[in-house]
Amino acid sequence: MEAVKKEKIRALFTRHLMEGHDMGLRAVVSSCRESGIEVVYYPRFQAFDEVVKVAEEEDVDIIGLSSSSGAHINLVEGLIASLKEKGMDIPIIIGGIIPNKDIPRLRKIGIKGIFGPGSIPGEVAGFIRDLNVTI
Amino acid sequence: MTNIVDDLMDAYFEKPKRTTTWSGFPVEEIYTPKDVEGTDYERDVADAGKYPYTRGIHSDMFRGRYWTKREVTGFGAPADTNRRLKEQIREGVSGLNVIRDNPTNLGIDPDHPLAEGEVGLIGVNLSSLQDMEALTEGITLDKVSMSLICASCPAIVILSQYVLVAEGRGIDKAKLRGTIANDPLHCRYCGWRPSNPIGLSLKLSVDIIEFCTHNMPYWNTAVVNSYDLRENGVNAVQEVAFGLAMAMAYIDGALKRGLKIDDFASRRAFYCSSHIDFFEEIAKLRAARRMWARIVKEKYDAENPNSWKFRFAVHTAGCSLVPQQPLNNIIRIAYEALAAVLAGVQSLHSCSYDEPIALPTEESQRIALRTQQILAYETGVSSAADPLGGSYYVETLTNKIEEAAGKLLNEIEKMGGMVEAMRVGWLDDEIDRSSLEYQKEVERKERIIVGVNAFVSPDETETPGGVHRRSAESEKQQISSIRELKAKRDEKRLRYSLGKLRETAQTGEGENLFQPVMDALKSDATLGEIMGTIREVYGHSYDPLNVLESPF
Repeated sequence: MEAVKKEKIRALFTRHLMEGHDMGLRAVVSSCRESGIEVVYYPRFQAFDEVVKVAEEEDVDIIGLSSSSGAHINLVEGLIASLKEKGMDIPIIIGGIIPNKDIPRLRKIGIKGIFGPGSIPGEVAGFIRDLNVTI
Repeated sequence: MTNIVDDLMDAYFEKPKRTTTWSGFPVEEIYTPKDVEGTDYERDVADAGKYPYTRGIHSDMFRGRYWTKREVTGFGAPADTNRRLKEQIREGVSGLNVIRDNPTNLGIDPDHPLAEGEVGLIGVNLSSLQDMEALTEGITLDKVSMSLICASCPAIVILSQYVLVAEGRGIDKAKLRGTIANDPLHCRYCGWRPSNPIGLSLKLSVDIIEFCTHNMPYWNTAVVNSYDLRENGVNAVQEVAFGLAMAMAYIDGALKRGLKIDDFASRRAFYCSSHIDFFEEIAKLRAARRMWARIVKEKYDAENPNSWKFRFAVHTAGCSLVPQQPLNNIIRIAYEALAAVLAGVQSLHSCSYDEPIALPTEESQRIALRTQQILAYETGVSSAADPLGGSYYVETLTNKIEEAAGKLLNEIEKMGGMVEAMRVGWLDDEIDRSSLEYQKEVERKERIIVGVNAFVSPDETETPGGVHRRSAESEKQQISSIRELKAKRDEKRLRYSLGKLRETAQTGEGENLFQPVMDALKSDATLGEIMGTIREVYGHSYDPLNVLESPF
C-alpha cells in the first residue's frame, strides 16, 4: 500500500492513575502541540476502557503512555488487550523510566517507540510524524 | 583524517557557550569587592550560628556533628525494606529514610481492587500497625533518626503507626527523633493524584503539627518539599520562593489553630534539591536560609532563635540523571552532594546512579552512601563552616537569588498567599513555563547534558549492576497479610474505635484526630479504613477512587 501522509495527526497522551511524575509527559504534550500535532491530553486513567473510549471518540492516530513506576509492561499489555477487544489497532508509544533490558520485550509486544528520561521531547514529535507516513 | 584534526582544533579553542546560570542570571568574568559593596557582614551575612544564618545554622557546623547521611529506601512488603534498612545501617548511614508505595500514598489498602500491581512497587506498603512493626523490626527507635516520606494523605496514620510501635516497645514518644513529610500543598504538584481535597489535607497537617508540638519535642512536624517542585521543572529562584510561600501557608494554618509561633517553628524543616549548577545551588540554599530567618523573625515575630533557623535536608536532583551512560550519574551526584555540604546541609540523600532506570540496587545505593562518606572523611570539606562565605561571586549570587525570590514571594503574597496562587492556577502556569523552557534549552543545546545532546554513545542494552525490581511475591504476601488481619481482628472493637474516630471528626475541624487515629490502629483498623472514615465525615466518598463502599 502506498504511504499516505495524513494532514492532521491526532495523538492521545495519558498515564495511569497510580503514576506520579509527569514533567516528561507534559513536556512531550507541549512539544507535540507546538509542532502541529493535535493532542488529546487525558491526564489520568483508572481503567483501560477509558483510554479505548477516548481513543475511539477522538479518532486518534497514536496513543502515548507515560510510566515511571515500573509498571510499564503491565500497562502496555493491558491497553493492547482492551484495544483488541474493540477490534482497534492503534500504535502505542511509551515514555518514562524504562530499563533498556525491557526494550526488546516492549518491541515484541508491539510498542512502536520507547522514550526514556534522557529523551528530548522534540524527538517524540518527530517520531510520531515519521510513523504517520507508514500507517 | 582532516575531519578529526579539525575537531581537535575546535576542541582546543572551545570556550563555554553559556555564561548564564541555569535559572538565567548572567555571570561576569570576575567578581570583586565592588560587587558586594552594599552587603553589611553583620546584618546580611554574619558568622555561622548567628542571625540571619546565611553561613549556617550552627556556629561549629560539621565540627559539632556531620550531616545526617540517609538514603531513601522502600520497596515490597515491610520485611523487604527492613532488610535493606539493616544493610544500610551496617554500611554506615547515620539516619534512615523510608518511602511508601502508591496505594499507601493514596490512602487505600493493598487489597483494594485498583492497588493490584502497585503494592510495594515504588516504595514500601504501610497499611497497618503490623506493617510498621515489620518495617522497624530490630531497629531501636529511640536511637535512630527516621524520616518517613509519604504524601500528606496517609501522614497522620503513618506517624501514628510509628508512635504506637515505639510505645509498644517501651519507648517514650518524646524521645523519638525524625521527620514526617507533612506537606499537602506540594503534593499537588509532584504528579501524584491527591487523595484528599485541600481543606481536609491542611486540617490533618495541622493536627500532626499540633500533636507533635505537645508530645514530640525532637520530631520535625512538617517539611516543605521544594525538591519535588524542582523535579517538576522550576528553577532555583522559584524553588526558594515557592518553598517559603508554602511554609508560610502552614504557619498561618497553625497560628489559626491557636499555636504560638515559637512553639512549633523550630520543628519545621525543608526538603530541597541540589541540582547540577554548582554555585547557583550553594547560593540558593544560603539565600533561602537568610530569607527564612527574616520572615520568621520580622513577619511572624518569633523570638526564639531556633525558630529562625532554616533547617534543611537535600535530595540530589533525580531529574539531572539520565539513563544514557548511566555510570556518569555517579559523578553528577557527587558534585550535587558536594554543593549541599558546602551549603551547610543538615541531612543528605544522594541519589543512586540507576534511578533513571529502575529502583536502586543494593550496590548502587552503596555507592551513593560511599559518595557521602568520601565527602565526609576524605575531602576535608566539612572542617570549616561555610567555606565559600565571603567569595565575591557566591555572595553576589546569594544576593541576586534573594532579590529575585523575594520579588516572586511578594507576587504570591499580593495574590493572597500560596493557597490562593494555587487555586487560580498561577502556580501551574509557573511550573509549566519553566519546565518547558528547560526542555527547550536542552533541545537547542543551550543546556548541555553529556550523553544526551553531546558526547553521545550508542545506546546500551544492559544496565551496569543490573536492574532491581520488587518481587511479585512480596505484593501477594502483603495483600494476603492484610486480608488475614482483617479476618482475624475483633470486629466489635474495630467498629467501636472507628465510631469514636467518626464522632471526634464530627465535632469540628479544630478537633485533633491524632489520638482517635492511634486508637483505631490499635484495634487493627487499616489505612484505607481510617482515611475512609475521616473522608466521609468531611463529605467525601469513603474510597478516594470511588470503587469501594464503606463496610462500616
